[in-house]
Amino acid sequence: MKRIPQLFLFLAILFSAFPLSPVQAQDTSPWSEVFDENGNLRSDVIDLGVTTETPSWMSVDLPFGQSLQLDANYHRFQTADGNVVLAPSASTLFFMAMNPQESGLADSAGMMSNGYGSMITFLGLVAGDSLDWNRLQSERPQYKDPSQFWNAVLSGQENAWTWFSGWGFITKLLSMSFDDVAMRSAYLMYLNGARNCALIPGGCSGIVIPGDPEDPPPPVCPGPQVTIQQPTLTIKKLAPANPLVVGQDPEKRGVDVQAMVTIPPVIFVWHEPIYEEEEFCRAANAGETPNCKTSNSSLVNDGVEDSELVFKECLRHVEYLPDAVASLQATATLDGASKAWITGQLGQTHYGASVHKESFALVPGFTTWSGSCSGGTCTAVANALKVPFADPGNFNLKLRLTTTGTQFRGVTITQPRNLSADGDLQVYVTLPALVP
Amino acid sequence: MKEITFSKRNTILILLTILLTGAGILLIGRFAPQPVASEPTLSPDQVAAEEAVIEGTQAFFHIRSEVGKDAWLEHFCSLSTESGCAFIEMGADRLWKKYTEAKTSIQATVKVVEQVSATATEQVWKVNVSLSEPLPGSNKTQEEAYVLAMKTDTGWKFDRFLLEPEIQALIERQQKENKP
Repeated sequence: MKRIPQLFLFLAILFSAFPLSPVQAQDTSPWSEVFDENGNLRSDVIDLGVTTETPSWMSVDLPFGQSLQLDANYHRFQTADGNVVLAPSASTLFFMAMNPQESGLADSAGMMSNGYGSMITFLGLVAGDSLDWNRLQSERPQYKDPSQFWNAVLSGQENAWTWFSGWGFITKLLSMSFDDVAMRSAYLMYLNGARNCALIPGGCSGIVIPGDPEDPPPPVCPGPQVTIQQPTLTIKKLAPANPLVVGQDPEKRGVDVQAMVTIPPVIFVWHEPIYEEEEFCRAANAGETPNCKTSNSSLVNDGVEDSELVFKECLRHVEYLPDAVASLQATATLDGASKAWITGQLGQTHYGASVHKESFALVPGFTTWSGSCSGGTCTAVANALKVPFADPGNFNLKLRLTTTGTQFRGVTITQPRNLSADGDLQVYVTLPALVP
Repeated sequence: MKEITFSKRNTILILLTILLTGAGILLIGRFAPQPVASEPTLSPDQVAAEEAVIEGTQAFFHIRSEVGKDAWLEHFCSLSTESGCAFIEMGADRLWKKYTEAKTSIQATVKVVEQVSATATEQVWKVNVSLSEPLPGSNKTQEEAYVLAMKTDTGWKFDRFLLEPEIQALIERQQKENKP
């Protein structure tokens, strides 16, 4: 069994040396925009964070016509030239490989350094042991090694699902993190992805809108830079320290829950070309009266005075653009273990114990949120006061919000972001005990 | 040569003994449990995996919307592999939205049909699932399913339902293996 990963390691090295990617090598690799010579992310690459979506190609059929819609997760980055690089989660990448057209995998410019070679390595590492290679060899003798089969899968010529003799790896993919060894080179590049963001995996969430190619850039000034800073989101209990279920509290106080958001500004650096008007003597056109000499050697006036704009310098501007909160929702939901405890264990000792109200819409519902921006930093806060939690146990707090995105002089710089945070709070109950 | 003599009484006793012995053999033959068609004895791993498959499938289709998704997940996850639990958990919100809207209350009976595939760590079992009523969006109360059980540190556990192309491949493989 251990020979298979070794085989794939060998193949990975082999493919790195001899790419079999459908993407042909370019003179200047676009990957040089992403990683420096030491393999680290370049400082001008914008970290767009993790984007989640629920694509149809990650739908898993269950018996009785039911289906499980799995989430696709991508950690995305944007390069200075507007290319988008994404690192999918292991399960996402596997389902992308199984559905190369629908998932947009086939539209990518391949993976880092060796096109689809890394993808084949990834498939070998996660599913190689589960491939029924003996059956595959007898029924598809054209494949001399597993990599040729995986290449056919990635090209949409083979359905990999029918060639497995082990099936447990599918669910195990979910426990693999972005840092897993199989994922280290699993970056997909979408050339010009920022401009065509609606067509790339993850869509336009947080994408920094590149400048219009129709507008020629200033001759010598560097292009704009965008830095997205990570926001701080919290949702937590404010008071009291140990809340009682409202039914047992003589004051019927309830619980105060606070949701807070701080979104640092998007830093937009741009350079303004500074021109100065300079006068000069140009050759006179027909019908114009000469009033200056075009050169020192001219004995009489042979030109007319004119002026032109001459580039002098680039003026650097730093803008702190507010990415304000556009909508905010907060909820509290009693978790399953607490419900099971109320109806089970508590129900056995206290007749009639039941769940009274398992979920609360805090915002909007108990309260509304208010927000503002100052110096580019935007905040939003919502205080849901005296929420009458009537059930004991752990309540899961969820905060979900969207931002407006950022604009500068009417031009969109970054797209709206979807942000979220979770928290919890404990509600207590006092239970009488018989003391002998 | 010594002459053996039987008294009349002894002769009757001997004949009676022979008669009773014969009758006894006949009676035992008639009332003793008949040998049944021999069934292969399941190994401990098979028994454990079969049990995991039945319990996990029953837990998955034991849906009571009034109890809620979290309790359902908690019960299911106590019977499934960790990764199988994470797999279902990932899509549970959308699945349960439908069940809650339809106020679903369903129980399942699961009968094992056969073991389809087995390795040291994985077993696939074909099962017959009967529901007390159809699930939302379906009109069926009976269906066959192929269930994967995985060996974990705490024994065999339900992992997941196989997908349609995986099932088709398994059936084709079985048919080929059964061909003379």
